[in-house]
Amino acid sequence: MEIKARPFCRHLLERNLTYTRERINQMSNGQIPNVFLSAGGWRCRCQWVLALDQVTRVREGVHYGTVHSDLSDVQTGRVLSALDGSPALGILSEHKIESIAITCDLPKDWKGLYDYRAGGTVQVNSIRRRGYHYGELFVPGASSQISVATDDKFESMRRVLLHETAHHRQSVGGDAVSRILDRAWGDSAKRSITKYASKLSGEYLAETWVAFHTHWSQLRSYDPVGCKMIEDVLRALAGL
Amino acid sequence: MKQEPNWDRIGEIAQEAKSLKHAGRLDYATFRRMLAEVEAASNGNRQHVNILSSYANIDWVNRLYREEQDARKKKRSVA
Repeated sequence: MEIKARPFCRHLLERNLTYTRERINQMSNGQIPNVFLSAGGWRCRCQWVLALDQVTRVREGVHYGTVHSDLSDVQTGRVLSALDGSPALGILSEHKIESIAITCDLPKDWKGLYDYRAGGTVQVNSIRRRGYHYGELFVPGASSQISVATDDKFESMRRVLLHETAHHRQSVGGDAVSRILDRAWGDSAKRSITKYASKLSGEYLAETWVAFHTHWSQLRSYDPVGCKMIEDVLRALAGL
Repeated sequence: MKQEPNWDRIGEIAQEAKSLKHAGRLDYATFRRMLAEVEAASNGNRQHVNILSSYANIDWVNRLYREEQDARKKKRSVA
């Protein structure tokens, strides 16, 4: 049976991925607003189905070993929740991050760090200065870094956390992820979403990963190669 | 207003760090030198030194942090 669907819906159906509400809110069907309610647009018969098996919150002891933070519990939770509902959260339960630190004991110019040794350690600098660590406008291809392109310092930390955990996923994804990354990095049609992403393949993956979570629509139209790379990485990680 | 970072130069240094790391020849002194080079190329946007973080490890970063703290204390005690 041939499925009659609009290009927007067909694109999503063919990819067969799970999307968070946040990401659905960023989507545009090119017709009317609120994709969550209107799906493919006027009189579209498609509807969203809740993926109960994927409604997951990031948890200590399951997705990461320990967390150390200078921030209050509420603020720490807000930063960590950047990982909630990520389609690749499952991989963290198989290969959890050893520790996450959201502290001010990084060198002052550093925003974050991922060290792959001993299961992977992620550090996020809790010091944020406007105009330096955050406060830029997001302009695909022109912004320096995704974590800087926000007006909210906690959102900036959330993006650094996503960025550094992308390095972790790259590390545990091994050859499968490397092959996908090499193919996308070598594709002349790729357009790096930030300046930072344009200089190293690992940073291209990490910045595109963050954009996939925070600016899905813009990523999809600006760098379809990168968007497809992340979708392929998600599939590869799911198959590990 | 800050100048635009020299992204080409930053990219070159990062590539060099990557090659040295893969060859097992990236030590702390070289890493420090490269950080200073990225800082110079960043034209005041020093947060871009973070591009070398993929080639650092926690021990180096902790050492860097301690050195920064010591330098700050020294500066304060002179003042």
